[in-house]
Amino acid sequence: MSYPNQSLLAICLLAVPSLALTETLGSPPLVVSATRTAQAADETLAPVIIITRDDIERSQAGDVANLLRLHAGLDIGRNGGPGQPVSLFIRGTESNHTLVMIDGVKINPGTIGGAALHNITPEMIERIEIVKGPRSALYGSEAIGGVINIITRPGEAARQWQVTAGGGSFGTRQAGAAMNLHNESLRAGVALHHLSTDGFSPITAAKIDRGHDNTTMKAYLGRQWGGVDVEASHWQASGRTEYLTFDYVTLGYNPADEDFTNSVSAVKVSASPATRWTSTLHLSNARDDLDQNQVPDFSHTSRNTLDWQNDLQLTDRQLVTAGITLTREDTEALVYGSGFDQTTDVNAAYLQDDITLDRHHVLAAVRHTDHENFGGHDSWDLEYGYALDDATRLTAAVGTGFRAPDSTDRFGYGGNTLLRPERSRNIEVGMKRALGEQQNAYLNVFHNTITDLIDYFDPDGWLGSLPGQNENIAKARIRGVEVGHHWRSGPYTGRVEVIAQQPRNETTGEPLPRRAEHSLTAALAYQGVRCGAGIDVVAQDERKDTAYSTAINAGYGIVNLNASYALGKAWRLSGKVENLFDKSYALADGYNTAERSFFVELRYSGSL
Amino acid sequence: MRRHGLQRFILISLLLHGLVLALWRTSGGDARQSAAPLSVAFIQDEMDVAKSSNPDHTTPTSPPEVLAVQSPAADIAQADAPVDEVPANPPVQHEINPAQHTATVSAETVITPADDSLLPFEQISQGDNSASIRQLRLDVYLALRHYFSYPPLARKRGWEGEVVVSIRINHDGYLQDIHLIRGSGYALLDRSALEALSRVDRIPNQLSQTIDMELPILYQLQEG
Repeated sequence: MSYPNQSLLAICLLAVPSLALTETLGSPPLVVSATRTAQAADETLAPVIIITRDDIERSQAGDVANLLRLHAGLDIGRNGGPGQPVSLFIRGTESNHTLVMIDGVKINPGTIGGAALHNITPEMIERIEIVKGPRSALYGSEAIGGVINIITRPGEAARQWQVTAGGGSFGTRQAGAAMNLHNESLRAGVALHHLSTDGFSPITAAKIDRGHDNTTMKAYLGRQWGGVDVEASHWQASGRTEYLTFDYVTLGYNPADEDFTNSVSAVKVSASPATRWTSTLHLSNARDDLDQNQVPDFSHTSRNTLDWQNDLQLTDRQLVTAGITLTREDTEALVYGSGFDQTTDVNAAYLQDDITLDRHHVLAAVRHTDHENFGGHDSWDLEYGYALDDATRLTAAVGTGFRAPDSTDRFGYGGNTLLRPERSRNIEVGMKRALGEQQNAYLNVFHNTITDLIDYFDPDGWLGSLPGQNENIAKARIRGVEVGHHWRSGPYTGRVEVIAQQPRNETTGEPLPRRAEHSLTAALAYQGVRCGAGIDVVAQDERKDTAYSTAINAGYGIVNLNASYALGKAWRLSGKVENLFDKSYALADGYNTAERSFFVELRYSGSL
Repeated sequence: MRRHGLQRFILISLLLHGLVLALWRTSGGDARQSAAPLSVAFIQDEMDVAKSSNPDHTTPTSPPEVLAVQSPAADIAQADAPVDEVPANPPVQHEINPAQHTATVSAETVITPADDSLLPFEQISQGDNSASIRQLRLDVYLALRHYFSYPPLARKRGWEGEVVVSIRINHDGYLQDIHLIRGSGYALLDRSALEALSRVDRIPNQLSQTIDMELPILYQLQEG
């Protein structure tokens, strides 16, 4: 039986599910359709970007950072090429203000900085959900600028296997294999991917190529016993990244390298104790390890989390989510001879109520976090949506976010165990409108105030005798407008996204570094039966490099091309050109970015 | 003190949830399994399948053998009962009642000559048939569209599926018998479809006859 394609953008825009009349041969079904909800937020109220598997395969991006930068408002700072450290700034917030999860498990390090996006290969990813704005009311610390949930493959794949091999510029070669076996009650799979690249010199002042090796694996086994679903899974990326270190004696750069491991192991038990109640117990361990090979320095995080979430549909229009999260985080680091070895317990309880009444949609969430160091902290979120007509939805939201001080803030250089969490309050209004059945457009205006930002403070200056320490002294304010237009016409899809923002240090009045005030991204893609092609454009204006220098990174625009061709039913050949016009630009002052580069890949998919 | 309070809350919550889960397990509840069939109509007709690809088939045929089979529970009233309180039978469990035979004309429209007031489809004049049936189907769908909604929990969990129900529309348009024929695999979707139909007031019935319909309801999520 075939059902007509129900790609009604009007339906997608409305929270109220729609009903479509179908007239097909055979028994015509009544189609009750609704927009698929992102796991991290309801898309009808929150600004959400979904990067699908099709998007990933089309763009052929080398890592997650290169996928994210194709969307305005997701600024990337990067200290060189593949595997080199990446900073992500969502809507102008700090690089440690984004909560990153893999399959719902937080992977941010507890030691310092943001999640290791540069180590996550897209080959293992089914879908990425990016929620812009605070989500600390559900997810706790770090969810100030937004939340990124990376859902690893396979998704709903049944009995199939796949082999890929490819290579290209910078001596890049990669190969992978995946196999999935699903039946009604059992599902299992394993995937392995290896990437090796000679890279290029990360530093503009040096001529030494620095490579990156990354082996990523995913294995899972799931089974249903009656109404109870149990799944065990393990994802891991590990390898070696070469880099350059400055030698203060020779005033030159020396080669160095580090080994990394990022992993998520989880057991998830889901059940429906009643028709309108689902209960999920999620036990997980996340690791973020970095070990230097030339010096004894290291940085290790191991986080064990027990999350128990209950979703209760009280009525057809009301969904309540309640849960508790118990976390024990072990952090250990050694940096330039000093370090720490700490265990931190963080427990939390959260409650969310999601109500739809005719044209009105209200979501309220509250969370209480109990942190071993700073004690209790409450975060909340209130969102409202109003369906002006069948095609237009207005939204308004106010919410809070926070970031708990990490171990380096508390026990590293200038460490202060009395630090409070960094706090934010975001207010925004928005409109989303369907323009016919194949187009939609959105507009969001936001104002985010971040206080108690942690900064090093020395009362009598660097040369003074009094010791300095980390304090909750800084403030930031970010105002912005983002506009987007998405359309589809037959085999063609396109989008344009623009953001204008003012990320400001409220204490100094200076712009926050490495965040552009204006960014534009655009994509145009064609997907036919056998061949596909696409073009991606990213453009940003100038950015201040750091808070401590006057260096400015100039504005730039780059264009990427990609194409794919099906060689029969099972084989597909794809290729891409990155930085088509060989634009020389900097995402961080003194660091190189990729010149024009070429990559090809051959993929074979078969059934079992 | 605050930490002790939280730990107490967690302990009590764990105990309560454990208790509920233990009770639920012993009662044999099954989340993925559909709710106990409220009613199952089993149409035992190979010709019917063939005809289902030709809904405009208008040539009078001899009434194929169709067994309308009722399971013990056959009342929409039971749809409102909590799922935990009804036996968790497999979705397809038939109790054949050979006394009930009906004539079918198409897979989705069944005219049931259960008594004199119900006219077999063949007795309706040929010229009006297909148009009338199509119009009726359209009326039914248009009337029903406002009653359905996607259950928010199913939407959040990504549950999709097709629920097939049978409904009887009497001569003045009132829905009388609403039976679940085939579940979606998710009790929540099945229950939602049955409850939506239970709220239906009246459907325009220009044929002025009692009509039985099989109605597939497809719950489908789309990318935003």
